[in-house]
Amino acid sequence: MISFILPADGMTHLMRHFSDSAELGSRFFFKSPVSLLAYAATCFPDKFIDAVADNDGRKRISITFDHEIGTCNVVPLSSLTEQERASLFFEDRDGYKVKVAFSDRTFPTSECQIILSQDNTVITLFPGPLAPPFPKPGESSDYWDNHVFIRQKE
Amino acid sequence: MAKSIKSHAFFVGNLPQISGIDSIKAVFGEPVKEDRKTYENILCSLFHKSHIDAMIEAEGQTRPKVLDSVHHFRLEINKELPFSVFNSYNSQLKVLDGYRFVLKSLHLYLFPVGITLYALEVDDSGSDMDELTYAHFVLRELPSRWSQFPAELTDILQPILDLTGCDNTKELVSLGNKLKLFQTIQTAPDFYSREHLFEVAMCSPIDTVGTTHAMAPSQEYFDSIIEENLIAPFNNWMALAIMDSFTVLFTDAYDERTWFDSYFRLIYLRVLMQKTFLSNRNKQYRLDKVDKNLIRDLAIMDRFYFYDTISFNFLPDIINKQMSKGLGIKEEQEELSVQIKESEAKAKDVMVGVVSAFAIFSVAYDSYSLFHEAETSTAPLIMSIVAIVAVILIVFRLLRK
Repeated sequence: MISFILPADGMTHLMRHFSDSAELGSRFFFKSPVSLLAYAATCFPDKFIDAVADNDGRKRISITFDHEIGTCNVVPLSSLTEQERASLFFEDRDGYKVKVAFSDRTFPTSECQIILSQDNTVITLFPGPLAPPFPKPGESSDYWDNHVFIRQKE
Repeated sequence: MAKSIKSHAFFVGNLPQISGIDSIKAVFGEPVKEDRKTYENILCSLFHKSHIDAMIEAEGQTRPKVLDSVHHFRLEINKELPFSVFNSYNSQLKVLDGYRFVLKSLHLYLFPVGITLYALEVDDSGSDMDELTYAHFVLRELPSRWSQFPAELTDILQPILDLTGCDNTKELVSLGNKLKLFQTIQTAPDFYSREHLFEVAMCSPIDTVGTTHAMAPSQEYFDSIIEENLIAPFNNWMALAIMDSFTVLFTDAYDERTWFDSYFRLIYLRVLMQKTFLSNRNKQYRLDKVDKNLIRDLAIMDRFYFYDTISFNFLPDIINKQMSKGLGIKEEQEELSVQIKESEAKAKDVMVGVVSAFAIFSVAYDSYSLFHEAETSTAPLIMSIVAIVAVILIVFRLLRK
C-alpha cells in the first residue's frame, strides 16, 4: 500500500495542472491529483516504493506511461514555428517573467513528474519532462531562457 | 506477505423503498432465472423446493402467488479497477497497489414484504492479504465513504443509488452502517489458521492477533468468537459467521457454484433477508411507528422464510444455523415477539372495549324503550345521551391506546 498526503493548503497549487484550471501551463488528462496519483501508483508502484530523497529531502519521481496522459505546455523555444515565435510575450508566473507564445498546436506527452517530501506529502506534480524551478530574482536559468509556455489561441 | 490464490467477495446492502420494476429492468435487463436442469437436478437434490422457490426464480416452475415478487437481477461489469481511497479529513490518499480489484457484477434481489437486497460481486484473487482486508474494510463502508473512492468505481455503482431516488449514499444501507460481507478465500496452507481467519473476518490487519496492535482482540474475545461462531466440519476449510461478515478460508481450490449459487444465494441472502425484516420492524417499533401490516407480513415470513430445516444434507443446515447465530436472528425475533404480544393485547383490548360499549348501549336502549313505553318525561333521553357519550369515550380511548 502506498500512502500520500495531499495537504489541503497546497491543493490550489496542485490543481493548476488539471483540466478546470484557467492558469497557464501544462494539463493532465486526469480530473484531480488524487486520480493521477492513484493511477500512477497502481501502474508503477515500484517507482514510489523505491524512491530515494535527494539532498534537499525531496523525492523526484519521473514516469513515462505508454500513452498520452496530458499536454505539455512548456516547450523548447527552438520548436516554435515562425508565427508562434512572432507572438512571444512575457507573463508573470510566481514572481518570474516567463516567455509565452500563442499556438493552435497541442503538445501531448506521456511523461509526468511527481515531487514528494520524505513522508510522501505531495509538493508538486506536472505533465512533461522535469523542469528546474524558476530562478530567484537576479539569477538566470538556461532552461527557462530557452523554454516557453504555450497559450492556446482562442 | 501472504497472497490470496483465489478470493471472491459479495458486499451486500439493503435498500429502502425503491422505484418500480420497469425502472429496474431499464438498467438491469430481464431478471435472472435458474435453468430447469440445475434447479431440478442440483438444487432440488440439496434443498427443499419450498426453500428454493422462496429465494429464486426458475424456468417452468410454479410458486405460491406471494412469491411472484421474488426476482434476481444481474448487471455484469467484469472490469478491473485501480483501488484507492482518499480521505479528505486527514488529506491521505491510500493506493492499494497489491490489491487486485475486479468488479464482476451488481446484483439486485427482490423479496416479498418490500425487502430489496443488492450485492457487489468482487473477484480479488492474487491480492496481498493485508491489502485485501483493508480493501474489504473500506468497501464495507462504501455508502459513508462514497466520495473517497475513484469515480471509475462510483460511476458504475450509481444505478443502484438511482433506484433509491435519492442522492444520499447513506440510503444504500437502510439498516446499520455498513455492507455485509460474504467472502471465500483460498490461500497457501501456511496461512491457514484460526488467527488469520479471525483477522480476515474482522477485516483487520494480518498478523495482529496475539500482539499489542491497536486492532488486536483480547484473548478472551478471540476465544469466545472462535468458540461461538466457527464452522469447521472438514480439514480443508473453516468458516467464521459473525455479525458483519461470513468468511471461509480454504487450503485448496473450492467449488464456486456450491459456495456462490447455493450457500451465498440460498442461505446467506435468506438470513440477511430475515435480518432486514426483523431489524426494520423492530426499528419501527422503537420509533413508535408500528407497521400496520406487521401481522400479515409476519405470516408471510413465518410460512416462507422463518423455518430452520432448509436442506436434506447436514452442512447447509449447519451453515444456516451459524449464519443466523452470527447475525443475531434469534435476539431480533425475541424483540419482535414483544411487539406482537403488545399488538395482540391491544387487539384484545379493542375487542373487549367494543363488546362493553355495545353492552352499555344495549342497556341504555332498553332503558329508553322502557321509559318511552311508560311515556315518562325527558329522563330516559338524558340517560341515553349519557350512555352514547360513554360509549364514544370508551371507543375513542381504546383506539388511542
